[in-house]
Amino acid sequence: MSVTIYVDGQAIETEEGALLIDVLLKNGIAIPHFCYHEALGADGNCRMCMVELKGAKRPQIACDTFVKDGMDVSTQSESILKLKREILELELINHPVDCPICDQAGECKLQDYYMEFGLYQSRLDTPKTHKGKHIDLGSNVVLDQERCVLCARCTRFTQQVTKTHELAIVGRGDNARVATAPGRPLDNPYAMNVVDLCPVGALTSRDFRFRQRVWFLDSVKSICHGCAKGCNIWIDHNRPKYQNDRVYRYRPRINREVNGYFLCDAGRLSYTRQNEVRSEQAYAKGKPIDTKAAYTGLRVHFERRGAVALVDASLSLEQLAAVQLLCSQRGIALFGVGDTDEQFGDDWLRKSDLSSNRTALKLLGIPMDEDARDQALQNADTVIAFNRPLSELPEETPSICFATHNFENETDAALLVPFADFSMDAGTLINCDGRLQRFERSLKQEHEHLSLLQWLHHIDAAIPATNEGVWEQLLGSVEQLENLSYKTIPSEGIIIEGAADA
Amino acid sequence: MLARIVSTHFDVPGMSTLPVAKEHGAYERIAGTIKRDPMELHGIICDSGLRGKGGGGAPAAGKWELMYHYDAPRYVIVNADESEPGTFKDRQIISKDPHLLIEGIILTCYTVGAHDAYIYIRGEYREFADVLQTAIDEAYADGWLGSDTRYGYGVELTLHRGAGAYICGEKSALVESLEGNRGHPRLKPHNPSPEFYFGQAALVNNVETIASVPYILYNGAEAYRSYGTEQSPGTLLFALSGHVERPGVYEAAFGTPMLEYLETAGGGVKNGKKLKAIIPGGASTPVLTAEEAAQATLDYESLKSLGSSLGTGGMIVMDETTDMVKALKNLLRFYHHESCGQCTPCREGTGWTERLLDRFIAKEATEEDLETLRSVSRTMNGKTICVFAPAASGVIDGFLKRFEDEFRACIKENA
Repeated sequence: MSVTIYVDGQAIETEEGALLIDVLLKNGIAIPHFCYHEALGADGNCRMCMVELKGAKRPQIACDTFVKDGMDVSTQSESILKLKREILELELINHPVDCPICDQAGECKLQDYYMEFGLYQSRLDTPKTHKGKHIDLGSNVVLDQERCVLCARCTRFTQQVTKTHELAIVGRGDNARVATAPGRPLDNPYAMNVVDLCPVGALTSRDFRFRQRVWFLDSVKSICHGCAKGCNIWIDHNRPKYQNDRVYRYRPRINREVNGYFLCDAGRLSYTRQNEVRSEQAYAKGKPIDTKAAYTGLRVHFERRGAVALVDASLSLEQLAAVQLLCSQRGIALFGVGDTDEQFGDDWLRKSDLSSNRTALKLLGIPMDEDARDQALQNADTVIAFNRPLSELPEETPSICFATHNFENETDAALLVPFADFSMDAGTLINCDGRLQRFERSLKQEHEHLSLLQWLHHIDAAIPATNEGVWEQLLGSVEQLENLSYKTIPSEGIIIEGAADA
Repeated sequence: MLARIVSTHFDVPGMSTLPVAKEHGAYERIAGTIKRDPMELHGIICDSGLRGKGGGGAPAAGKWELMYHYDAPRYVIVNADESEPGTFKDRQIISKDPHLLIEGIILTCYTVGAHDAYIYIRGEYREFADVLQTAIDEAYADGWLGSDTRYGYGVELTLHRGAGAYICGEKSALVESLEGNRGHPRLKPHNPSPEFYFGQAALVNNVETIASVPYILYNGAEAYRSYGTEQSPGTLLFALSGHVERPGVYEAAFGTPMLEYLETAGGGVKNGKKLKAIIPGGASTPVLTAEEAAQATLDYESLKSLGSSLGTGGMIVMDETTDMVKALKNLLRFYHHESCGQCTPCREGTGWTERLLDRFIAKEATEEDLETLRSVSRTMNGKTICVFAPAASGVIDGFLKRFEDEFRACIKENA
């Protein structure tokens, strides 16, 4: 039932029985909180989200208050602001206040709230309690017990979400602290999510800490390419002057339809691949050639008969469509190749299908049949590989490799052409559930890499050089994509009917 | 007015063993009682006005009534996690007359429709747990407990020892602990509801409450009401400790004047010294001055009107030589040690206030310290999941309000 509540005098329409803190957050009303998290629910321990309810005897926590019609909520009254200041003061009396050397600085809720509600002169002159510092919990997670506000998000994550129960709070009172049992480290494929969940500097990532101050990072919306799930991520990157752009971390980006609030550790750490040394240099038989020479070589090769092309099932939908068009125009047999690892999958975010866009191949009708592919390869005069390694190709057949990585292994190729990987390009993917999602370009290098579309456009001007062009010219004819365009894909993605089970 | 309802057989040698207990009528009247309708028995509890004896003093019948709204299995859980400083009454029942408690559990189970009961006993009560376990084993062997009992109603009873946390005496923390989790109080329900043990309705009552049930059901509500006052009917195992000639547990009717009880039961203040203060009902109740104690009667209403509460009825008596600053420090050390650490105001406030007291004891406090103590205490009050921090806050406020002079004397400029 729809009801109206009043927050600091502002009328808000919401549902009866909704959780007040959800309503406040959804309506952009700042409500400080440590322990509440949408994915973990209310714990009620931090007491930061206290609000005044007209008619209630004492202040109530918004994370345990359910909306009733006509509820009159105050988040800004003088007594509430004073109360928040007092509770914040208590959070901080045993905190080391070591922001200058804390890696969380800049994205720390304690800092934010102090600037917003605190700003008091400290009146603490009794000794602080001391607890453990830089404790290695396992799985790249480092704990500083003194910075912890004991919100129990991390312990609830291992209890409710992964159900692995590695983390617990031990000790009582101001001696309480997060810990693992002796000999039982934090060890699950999703462990590093506790670093994101931690609102303060207690849990930091061994992989990221001290590498970069967070205020230097730019965040771009992207999609993890680690497997077929297509988890939404932020690519946090920074490009120092005169240097190449560098990815420092992936963070999960909230998408309730795909990954919720989380990301697996393997996906999270797959960012390192985006920093691997890449070359913008094209090669012919191992010898560097300039771009112009590469264009010429490509045009010649693509005119040859009897060529077979292999395309990686992780390329974007636009790249796949362009490759498909080029091949069909030249009578080149095209096959898709993907990667799988049966050990990797689970029943949550990790999929055994390690290719991020296999569904798109099905949608476009690019065959992935192994027997047909092997037979075609045996009879091929030339093999064209789009981001598949040379080692997969017949040794004696001349090969042309389009690659984002690993050029050192590809020097035998007749022609080796580098193109921009997904962090340097934009595009769309269709995940294992048939959800079409768009990712943005994040990295800008000192020397620009050509995108695959640009390369193909130079071979044949009929191939659109941009994603928008591909959508207008090529994908419009795909029945399931009829009413969509590149720019109108919703931020949470959209299910392409029938794509996943085609 | 001293009375004997629960403590009737405390002085009988060997009463904790089944043969002696049976000689004195234990279990005799169960069969006759459970022929009656459970709702009729609930009516008797309701009419008796029995109030929870663990410290809160809420009417027991209300809590029991909630059970009928929930499906079976229902559980009865007996709170024997007695850890409040100054309170040592439940262990008397457990060690002197455990079969009375077991009988009470059987009758309670029948009344609320439960077949499984647990006793959650304080971990440190090792020897009392042994006595109780022996009694439970005897009751099983003699057909008073188990699925197939002499009276035809199955009751399984399990004794569970706590691991040493005061907070597990808070009923929801107790249930959490019993479920195998860390003993953290749960968020309070928004409507009246029982506790939930693994998702099923559970009645959590104090040992003495349950031990009062046999008398009430056998003798009727009126017999129980002949003791005590209109609003606080019956008796309580009041206790005396501190500067008393004869400290101990002495059952008395509600409404007995506090000082009369101190004189008749405890023999007055030790060594004929002058009374300075009494903490009326376990550490968590605000302290009373001697003048207030003189006005107090031992019932919920009188102590409430004096700005304190009856709590568990475990009185801590302090004579004229007592240093109230050190007395408060002693109490705050307890709260600091026992705060479960869940809610911020309690976790941090109990430690801070204790450390502030050190400055008073060292006579190095400042006027600001007194103000800080007051304001931290205010922040601890009413802003947490359970009433632990409000209790600590009440204790601090009680001392500061009634003995402010002694705290001011510890301020550096005044010292």
